[in-house]
Amino acid sequence: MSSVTAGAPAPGRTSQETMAAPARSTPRAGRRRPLTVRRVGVGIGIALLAAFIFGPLLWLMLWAFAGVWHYPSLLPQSWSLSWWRQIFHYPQLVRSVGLSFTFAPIVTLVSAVVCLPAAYALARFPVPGRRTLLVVLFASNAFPKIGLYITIAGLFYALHLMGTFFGVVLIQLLGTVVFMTWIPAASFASIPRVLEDAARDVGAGRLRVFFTVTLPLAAPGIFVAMVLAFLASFDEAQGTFLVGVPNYVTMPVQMYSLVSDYPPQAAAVFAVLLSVPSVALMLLVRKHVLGGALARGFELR
Amino acid sequence: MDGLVIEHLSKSLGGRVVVDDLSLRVAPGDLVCLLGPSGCGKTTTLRMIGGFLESDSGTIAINGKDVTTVPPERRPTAMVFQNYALWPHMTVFKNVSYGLRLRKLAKDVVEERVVAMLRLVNLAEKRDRHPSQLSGGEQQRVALARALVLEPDLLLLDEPLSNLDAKLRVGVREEIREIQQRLGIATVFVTHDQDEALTISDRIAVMSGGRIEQYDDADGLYRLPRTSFVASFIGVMSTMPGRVGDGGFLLGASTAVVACPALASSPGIEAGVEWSVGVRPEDVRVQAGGEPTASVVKEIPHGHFKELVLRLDGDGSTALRAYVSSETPSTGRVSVSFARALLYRDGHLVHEVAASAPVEAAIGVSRAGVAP
Amino acid sequence: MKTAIQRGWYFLAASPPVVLVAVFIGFPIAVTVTYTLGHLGGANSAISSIALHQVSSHGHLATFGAYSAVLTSHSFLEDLVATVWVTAASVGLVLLLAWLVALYGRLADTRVARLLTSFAVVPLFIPVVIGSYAILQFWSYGGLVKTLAHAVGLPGFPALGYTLGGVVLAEVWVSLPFAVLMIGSGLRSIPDSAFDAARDAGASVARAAWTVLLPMNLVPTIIATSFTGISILGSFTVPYLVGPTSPNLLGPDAAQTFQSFNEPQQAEVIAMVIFALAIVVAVPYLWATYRSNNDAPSAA
Repeated sequence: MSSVTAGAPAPGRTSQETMAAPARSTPRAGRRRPLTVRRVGVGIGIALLAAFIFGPLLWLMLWAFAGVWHYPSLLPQSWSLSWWRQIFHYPQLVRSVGLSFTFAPIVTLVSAVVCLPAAYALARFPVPGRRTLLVVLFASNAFPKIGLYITIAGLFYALHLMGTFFGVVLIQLLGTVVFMTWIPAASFASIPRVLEDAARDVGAGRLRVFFTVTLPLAAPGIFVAMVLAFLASFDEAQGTFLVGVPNYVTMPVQMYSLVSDYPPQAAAVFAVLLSVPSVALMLLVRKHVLGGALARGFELR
Repeated sequence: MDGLVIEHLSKSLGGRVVVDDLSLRVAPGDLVCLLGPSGCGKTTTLRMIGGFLESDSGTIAINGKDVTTVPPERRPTAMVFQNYALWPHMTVFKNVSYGLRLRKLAKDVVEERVVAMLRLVNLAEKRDRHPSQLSGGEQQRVALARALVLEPDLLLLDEPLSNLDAKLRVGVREEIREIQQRLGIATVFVTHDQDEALTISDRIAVMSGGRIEQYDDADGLYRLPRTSFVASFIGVMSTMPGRVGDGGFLLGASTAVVACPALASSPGIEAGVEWSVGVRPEDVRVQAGGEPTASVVKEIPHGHFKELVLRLDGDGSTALRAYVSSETPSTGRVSVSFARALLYRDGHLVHEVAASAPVEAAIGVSRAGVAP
Repeated sequence: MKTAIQRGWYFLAASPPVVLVAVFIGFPIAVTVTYTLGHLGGANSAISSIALHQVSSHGHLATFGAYSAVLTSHSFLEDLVATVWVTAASVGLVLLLAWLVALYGRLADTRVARLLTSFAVVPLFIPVVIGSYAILQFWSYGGLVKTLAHAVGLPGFPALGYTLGGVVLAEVWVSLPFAVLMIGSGLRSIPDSAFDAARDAGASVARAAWTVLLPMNLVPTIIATSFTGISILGSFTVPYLVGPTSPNLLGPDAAQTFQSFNEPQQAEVIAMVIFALAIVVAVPYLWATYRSNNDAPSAA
């Protein structure tokens, strides 16, 4: 009735030899997944999504190298690098590149200094009114930026911040506060307390525990938050336009005028330039973002 | 008509062979345990039986029907998962009735069968609770009820007791065995706990490295472990290198002969050949009198008996374990003899040295060709 | 026992971002409310000194004159309708796509599936100005879509640049990464066995996803819905670049009212309407997080 044949010589993948008689089709032969309707459907779906996401970006890349390009030609009629050279001859464009790369790191650092201690406190201590604080931060995100900027403009006039460097930093900072607090807070909260207790147990002081155990473990979340802050600052146009013009015109602000006043090639070249740091940062944090460091931050705990 | 039949099943995961040409039959109504250390392929095998993993090669048939490529929802199997996998957003009743509702049965039929099943597992009054409001043992029983209510041809249990505390575990496994026998349902049970396997199974498949080392009932596994892996995995066995001579064994580097009277009735064992000699602790006889051949290193009380750890004279490396009655004096130097011993070569059982039953007759092992 | 002093320190440590938000977001919102109700002095004096067509409460508690002026205007109502349907359509599409991508990533767990998730996250890292401009070029007259349609003999295929349909496409493009991350992360935290158990009980893949994965992943889905909805309601760059002149969404409408017509009070009224809509969208989010914190089912 029951028997073991565990010791029989392994047949391996010898279906060809053993299938001398054509009578039976072995299920093993059918195991090589056939090209079913479902698999074709999935393939088409993936291709469509890829086209949806990347199509516009690739199209823009083509424009950056196009000389003459008239509808309905699939590719430019002639290629040219002229806009890559010309773009550097406009001093205001060159200056905007420098400004963008000045503001973004400063805003990121200030945001980290302001928000990270709070993130740690919210994650680790019984801060009074903790939930309310988180909800207030959230609500600040729900008010439309344009409405906010109009009133802030009045406030900045009164505080003499209009057109100043600090005013631009401040307005860009506001857009980073929410995730710079939430994402690291979630990272801190997800570290099991026993890991910190174990370090205390073997003789590390509070500060040493924080810098040798807590901070390294929370690093992915902090890193993701800082990259997002950098990008948010790098990307911010509306507030910067309101507060900074005409003294501080950053790349995205410049982009608005390029889009309306220059041929598509110029905007395309500028757009490609503007994307470079973003793409580089994306490659850096891709793993952590996909690993859930970002998503965890948005579940209010 | 013929329960579960697995033939030449293989599976590689991540470039590693996890299940290696495995064949197994489970008779209708039998409870079979897949027993082995973690990573031996037992859970992978179970998941292939349930249809959650596709096999690389080989066939699985249940009651004569080939289900090798059938998806899980159309297999006549039902699984109890290690962490129970109860759906937290459904009540006990909803959890248990889920499969029946999918089958579009009439409402009162569903109600009747679920209530009957909940009564069987003693949870009738908890039907409207959510899983988070139940104890571990109760969650376990809900998972069992959810599987059984579908009246599967084959019940699969994936380490169902590993999340319960030790005391509860004994009670629940007896309960599972009783329900299984009452319903007469063929069952495959995965565990790494030999106690669990030995106490509730009709037969046990001991697995290692993706293969079945031995497929036998509890008694057979304990008395005649066919490989040295099984010998070391099931129960306690002292294993040491040794030769036959002078009516006993010369073990390890020891110079003294350990007597084994049963050797007289086991003719045909070559002298001078190096064996791996395995002895169960209860087969070691310890006497204070006579010519001493070993000294007691450690004594471990077990209540009604005690365990001695012995070191043979002239051999520093081998620890021989013996169970003796609590009255046996157990200090200093003793003489040792074996009532029964198993001889292995290349990891496989070749001879049973016992007063009555030579191994050749019992399991048909020939001296030359034990290795498959 | 925590002493009051300790609690004070904790609060102090947590306060800098809150203070920042309170001073530069909370206070301006409060000031905005008074401004839209007709208070032109005080904190509003700077802005009101340069504004046109203001309504003043003349010392009374409040006047709804600015609101009634805006809310009865034909172009505003058109923009309101456009905002609501574009938001609804975009959120619906985002959720559908994000669930498909996340579900495939969770269930297939192959290299292709992981690649697909990576694809869907890319727009998170592209500045919105660039993304919007690229999408505009891609779907416009002269863009690839129109060119391909022409090549296969469909010259009548609509160009979606400068239409609300184009805005929906661009909003989906911009919002997809967050939803995919949120829903995908939620799906990953559901153990395999919960899904397998449903399959074992006889459910098809689709059925098991619908009856087990969706309810177990409800909170992340609601979070994704609320955040996507709020960001689209208040969005400016996407509709400004991709959308038509009129009707367009309320975001560019408010900007135009302020910058082109020099009517900050009316612009703020529009902002208040967007805020009100955003609060409606935020309610399920607050409810869901509150609920998941209070009766989170213990690990089963």
